[in-house]
This record gives sequence, structure tokens and C-alpha cells, in this order.
Amino acid sequence: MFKNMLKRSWLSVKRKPGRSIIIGLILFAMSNLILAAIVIKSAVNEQMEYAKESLGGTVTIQADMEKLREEMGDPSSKSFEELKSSSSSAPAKFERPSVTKSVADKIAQSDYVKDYTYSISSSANDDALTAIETSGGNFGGGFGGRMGGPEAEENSGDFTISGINSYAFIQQVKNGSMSISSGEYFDEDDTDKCIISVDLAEENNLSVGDTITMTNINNNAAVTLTIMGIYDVSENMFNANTIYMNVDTAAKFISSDDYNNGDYKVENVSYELKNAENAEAFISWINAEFPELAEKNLTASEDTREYDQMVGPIESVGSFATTILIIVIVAAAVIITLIVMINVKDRRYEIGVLTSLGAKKLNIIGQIFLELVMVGTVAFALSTATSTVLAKTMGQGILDSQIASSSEASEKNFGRPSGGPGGSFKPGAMGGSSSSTDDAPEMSGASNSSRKENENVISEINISAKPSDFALLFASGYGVILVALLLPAISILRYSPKKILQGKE
Amino acid sequence: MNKLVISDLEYTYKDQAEPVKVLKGVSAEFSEGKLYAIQGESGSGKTTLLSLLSALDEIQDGDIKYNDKSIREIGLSDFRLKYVNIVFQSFNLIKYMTAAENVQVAIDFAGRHDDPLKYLKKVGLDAACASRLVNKLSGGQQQRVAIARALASDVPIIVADEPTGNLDEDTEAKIIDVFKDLAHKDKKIVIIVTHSRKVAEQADKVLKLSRGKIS
Repeated sequence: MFKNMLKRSWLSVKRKPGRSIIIGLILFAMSNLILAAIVIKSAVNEQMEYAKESLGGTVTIQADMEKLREEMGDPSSKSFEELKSSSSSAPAKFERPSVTKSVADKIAQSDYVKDYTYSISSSANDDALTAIETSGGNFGGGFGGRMGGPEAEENSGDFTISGINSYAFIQQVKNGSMSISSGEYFDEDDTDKCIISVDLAEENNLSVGDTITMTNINNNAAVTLTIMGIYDVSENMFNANTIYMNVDTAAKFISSDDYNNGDYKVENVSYELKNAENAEAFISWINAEFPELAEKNLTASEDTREYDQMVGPIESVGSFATTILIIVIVAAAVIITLIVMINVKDRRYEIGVLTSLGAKKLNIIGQIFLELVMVGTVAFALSTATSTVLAKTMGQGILDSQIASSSEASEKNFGRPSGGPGGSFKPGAMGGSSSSTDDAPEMSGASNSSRKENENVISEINISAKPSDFALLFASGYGVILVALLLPAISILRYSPKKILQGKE
Repeated sequence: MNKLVISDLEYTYKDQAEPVKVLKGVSAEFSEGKLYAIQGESGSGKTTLLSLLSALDEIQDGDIKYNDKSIREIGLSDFRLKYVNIVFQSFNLIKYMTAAENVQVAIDFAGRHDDPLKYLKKVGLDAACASRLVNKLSGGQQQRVAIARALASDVPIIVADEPTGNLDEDTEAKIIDVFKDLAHKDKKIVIIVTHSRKVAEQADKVLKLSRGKIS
């Protein structure tokens, strides 16, 4: 029976070329758009997956701002008397929650962790060096010093000391705005070595291999540092007085109290995971093994900002592709339904004849379905050759416009905090402790790096259709045909062969 | 011997403003090897009777039995597939198919492997006609294709509605001969609804339908 149905379908397709071509063209257009959308979507998913893999999962330990706000009390919820009494008393010293080096190192022993980083920051002086005047008119203390209150001002040196495990973990290096213009970068083994900015080097006629002697502003101890590299930063608001070194070296610039026999407080604690999927499990493990973190108002959370920024525009392309897919499928189903309805009406005599010969109506519906499948199969097959080009043009076009609009938004936000609770907020500056500074390595991301961060955005969509995409096209194409046949099928079921054959239908 | 028996058939058109009863207890018996002609004035219920005989419509009252089995029991679709074929005045061929392909459709439905040309030759059509699209054939040729299709379906009953209505006299005579052969040589039950006196004269038995009853 199926063979006969197939034979009749083939005859109908072959002998009605006009109708077959029209349906074929519609299905070809539809399948091109469907496949383009599928391919774009699949490429987007792949690239997002790749982005996740390449960035890895990052978990940071930072102050639980919500809890801190609750504990400090929301001024708006206080009565006038409470506010009056609190304003008359001395302001309570705000203790910034922080992790000690030993705890940060213990957490890093977890099997989930691939690599980790933290930083410390301080400030120092060197009478022999001329500091670069920053746009704010001050030198090293800057923003952090002012934020930290009187103590911070007192403790501010001309130069910012930034200690971090490795050069590669400096935020500006990660977002591509910092590079070594001469010499080498440092890592955790390079004790008593540092890198300085191009501006500072030029101002003081310093070069790689020279030494500088910085003074700890807390105990006046002198530390001699060898310049192993000179860096260049393309960010406008970057403090050129920042001197980077490893954590052990930077620890020599904090006070004895803060040094705490080597178990000093560290900032911007961040763990890079072996597998991004394990972020939740790792956070649960931290919460279970280190309950003291929560007591100190610290929280472990997944840092997805870099990922979000990287995939933002391409994710929009994916959403757009989904929208196109839905619209095309619905539109195609409607158009094909109408064409088949007209077609069925045209063929009512044929339907009547076949019925009078004993054909069941489902058999006739099957024949029409097969006709559409034949035409559709050719259209779908042809579209596999053309849709990749369409997908590339369409996908790249949308991606470019998304990147352009996100760059525009970044330009508008330039100089304003954009990073949420972390933002450009530098916790190290708030306590007024000896380690306060304004130029801690920006592990938490600062708004003034937004221009450069756009360089990390996925700006090219790698379109390549896979067999699974083709399979999805054929499945959805046949699905559309099946749906489009529903209404015509109902009309066929309602046809009376008697009326058709007697010319009364 | 194959027999088709209709008994007390009644049929009312209910979709009119006033229900119209066109068949009022029609009974008759048709045997294999005979050509029957049903005649009657317009509105006498000929076409309605033919629709019921060819299982194109549901029986309302009464029954039609083929070899003592009701067509209700057999099922209308199965009855059309295995027992009856209908030839219309307007041929009702599938226009995008050739003559041979139209006949092949019936062979396919019958589930046989056969050469459609054999049936076309039986009604006087040659291979050249067989390979032409049916809408390129003359009225007489198209009617022959319709009859060949009925032959090819290899059913025991052939019902025809004014099969010579659109044909000239010569062709009419040839077509009547084909129907006679179907009845007498192929031992089929052939029932023709006709206004034509010539056709009625060639029939083995003429049934007159008047005011919904066979007289």
C-alpha cells in the first residue's frame, strides 16, 4: 500500500511541476532560515561552552555586602533619636572582612582547584624617586586613602605596592590592557623583584636591571627591589605609581601587626577551578569546611562577570536565532497550510475518485504528506548547501551590531561603577589599615577597564553545520509539513465522495 | 452465483428546507452475468439508488446485501475496494495521469500485479492512447478508460451512471457492447442508470423507478 501511495505521490509531484516548484521554493526559503537559525544557535552554544571551558570556573571570596549592610544598620530604618545618638557618638571603625593567607592556602588544597590567586596591597616611599602626578593631584594614596579616613591618609605613601601571585593574575593583564614593554614578568618565585610602569621608568630614568629602595611607611624598613620588567597600561585612569611584585615581597611593606607572623590578610582571593561545572560543589565545600568565613561576613561566590561579558553579544545572537526559528516555523506552517488547503480543494475530484476506488481517507492524506515530504526533502537538501552562507552573514551581522551597541553602552558608562557589589570598590582602602591603597590589582573588575574588556568579547561567530544540525532541520521541516497538513486533513476527512463525484461538492 | 439484493431501501434528504424522501422502500435483486438498466424520470431517485449501490453513501433504512452479507457489515470503504466499481457520466479520471496510470491505480488498489494495457485493449484503446494524459483523450476514449479502470479493479459489480450521456451515437454503441461483454463474458453484475432508450434496449432487465419505488 505504501509503495502505491509513494507511486501516486511521485506522479503528482512530477506532473504538477508548477505546484511542486512553488511549494519547493517556500520550503527552500523556510529550510534556509531554519537551518541558518539552527546552525547559529548551535555555534553560539558551542562558543559559549568553549568560553566557559577556556575561562574556567572562578570562585571568589569576598565581603558579604548584604550582611554587612544589615549589621551596620540601614540608616533609613532608624528613628530620629537613634540617628541623633549615633551621630553624636564617635563613628564606629569599620573592620573590613578579610581572609587570612593560611585559610586561603587551605582552601586551595581542594581537589576542585586548578590555580588560585590573592593579593595584598600597601604603599611605600622612595625619596630618590619622583612619583607621577595623577589626574587627582595626589600621588599614591589617591582614592583609597581618602576612602580609608584619617588613618589611611596618615599611612599613605607615594607609591602603591601591589602584591599578587603572578603577573598573569593582574586584572589589567587579564583584560588585555597591560603588557610588558621591556624585561620580563614576575611570578611567585621572584622575591625582591618588581615591575614598574613606563611613565615611572621614564620619569626617573630607570630601566630593567636597576634597583630601587622602597621604604615601609610603617617601620621605615628599607626593601631593595630589582626592576625585572616595565609595563605599559592603556587605561586612562590607571595609577602609574603602582609597583607590582609577588605577595611575599609585598608583605615586607605591611606593618608588623598586620604581618601577623606571616599569616597576614589577603584580598581578592580567587580560585580557578579545574572544571567550571564544579563551582556550586566547591562553594558548598567551602561553606561546610570553613564556617568561620560566614561568621566574618565573607561569602564564596561564582564570578561569572568575565564570562558574561565575553558571551554577552553572542548570547544575544543565540536569542535572536531562536526568535527567527520560531517565527519562520510558524509562518511556514501557516503558508504551507494555505497552499495545501487550496491544493486539496483543487484535487477534490481526485480524492473522490480514489475514495470511490476504495482508498481510505487516511491513505489519501498520507499521499499528500508524501508529496510534501518529497518536495521538502529536495528543498531541505538544497538548503544544506546555501544556509551556511546565510547563517554566516546573518550571525556575523547580528553579532557585529550587538558588539557595537554594547561598546556604545560601555562608552556611556565609562568612569562609572558597573561591576555590581564589587565594582570598582577597593576593600583594601576602607579599613584605613596599613595595607590600604587605591590600586589593588583589580581582580574584581573596575569600570575604568570597560573599554579594554570589550576586547575579550567573542567577536567572531564560527559557523559550521554539523550532521546533527541537518538532522534537526529535516526533523523540524517534516514537523512543519505534518502540522501544515492538519487542517487540510480535516477537510479531506469531511469530504463526501458522493457529493464530489456527482459534482455537488 | 453472486447476487446483490436490495430490500426496502428508503432514503430521505434531510439537509433541505423540507426533508425530501426520494426512495420509499425499493427492493430488487441483481445476478451475475446480466446487464441491468435502471430508468426513471428526473428526481425519481436513480442517482440516490446508484450512490447506495456503489457504497458512496450510508444506508438509512432497509439493506443491501451481497451474497447475503450486508454492506454495512462489510464496510463502505471495503465494499468499494473489493466489490463494486462505479463509472460516471463525467468519467472522473485523475487528470494528471495517463490512461495506463489511471488503470494502474485500480490495479494497485486491487493488490494485483497486472498490465493496465490489457484492460485498455479490452475496451478498444491502444498503447498510444494508454501513454497519453487522459485530458488529451476524447470523451469516448476517456469513458473507455473509466470502464477499463472498472475492469482492472476486478470487482464483481459495476455500476454506471449515464455512461453514454456525453458520447455520440457510434461511441455509445461501442460502450454498450463493452458493458454487455462485462456482464455476459466476464460474469459481472452490471447496473446502468440511464435515460437512453438504446441502452435500455440492450439490457437484460430494465427496472423503472418512479416516485421512489421500482415498478
